[in-house]
Amino acid sequence: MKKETTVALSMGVILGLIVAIVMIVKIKHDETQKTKSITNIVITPTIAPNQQILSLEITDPSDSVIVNTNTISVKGKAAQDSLIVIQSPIKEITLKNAKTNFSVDFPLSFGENVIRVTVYPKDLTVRSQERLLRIYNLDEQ
Amino acid sequence: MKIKFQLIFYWSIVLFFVIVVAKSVASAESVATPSGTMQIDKQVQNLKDKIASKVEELRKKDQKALAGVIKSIEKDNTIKIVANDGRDLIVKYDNSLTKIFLVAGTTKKETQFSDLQMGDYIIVTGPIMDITISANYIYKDDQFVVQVGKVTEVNKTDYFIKVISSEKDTYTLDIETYTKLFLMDIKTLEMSKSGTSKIKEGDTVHFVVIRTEKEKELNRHSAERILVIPQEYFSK
Repeated sequence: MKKETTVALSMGVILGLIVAIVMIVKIKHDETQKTKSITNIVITPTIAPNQQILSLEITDPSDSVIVNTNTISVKGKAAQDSLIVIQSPIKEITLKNAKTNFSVDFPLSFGENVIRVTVYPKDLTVRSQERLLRIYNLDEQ
Repeated sequence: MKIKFQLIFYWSIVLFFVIVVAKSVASAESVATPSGTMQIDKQVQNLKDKIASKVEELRKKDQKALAGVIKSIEKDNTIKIVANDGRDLIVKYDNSLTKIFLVAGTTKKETQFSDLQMGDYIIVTGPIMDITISANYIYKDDQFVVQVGKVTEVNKTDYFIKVISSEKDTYTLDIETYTKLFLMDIKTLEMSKSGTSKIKEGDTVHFVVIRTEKEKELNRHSAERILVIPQEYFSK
């Protein structure tokens, strides 16, 4: 290829790139100008500390599990300082969890144990939460 | 000169590979000695045993049971039940393999297939395939309902209370002489034995009843246990 042709091509490409960049910048600038009036109002919602309620979670035991023991540890997570009520056909326990994680030893009878865990958060405006577990204490040897 | 360098280079590569192969053959031979083979077999066997016991441990840990009310008993020894989650399930009974027990307090008592009836609440364990369970064990047990709700009516003459549950069902609970009734202290959270006179409309109650499927009135049961949380706890 001739030297002159190469120079002409290069200059053409460079010029083209410059034009493209200028156009893109201009379009972006115009867009921000158009939407400026909408973005003037900035909404920053603030969540008050008492609205951050942790959902009740039972980490152990799993529902419908078969065990061969007379006690089980009911472990879970709930909002701090909640009233926790655990009830089954043979026992009920009430406690307040000083920490998010809780663990309670609960007795089991032979056969099916229907255990309801209810949490009443410290913030009384928040609804209570419940979980139902069925634990099967069976001696299958 | 150039050819000389190339020759040296190629021969170096060949020599390198020869050395590497020789070394790997030598190490393989040392492992394949009689004492080396026995050691490997022992290690493999130990690993197999560990894996087998771990699998067994996980299998036991993940074993689950299903329970439901008998809907029908077929002539081919299959039982149709409605599970607690509302699903229709089929339980396959095998004369020679399935064992049936009656849950009696803290123990179980072996019983016959003919002792099972429609309306009985059973717990079934065994392999589950889709909606069919091949029963290894069947336990006939009481169907306990454990619920929580708000008191809407207290009848101190006829000793019953009406409760609306969190699921919006209305229960009528008859307070019997055997009903274990506790009241929670709103400050200490301690529970103490109490009577019907301490229950007020608006109190929250946690209760346990036995569902027999033969109730004359829908959701009317004799209460086994009641725990009363006074409404004052929620207004402090």
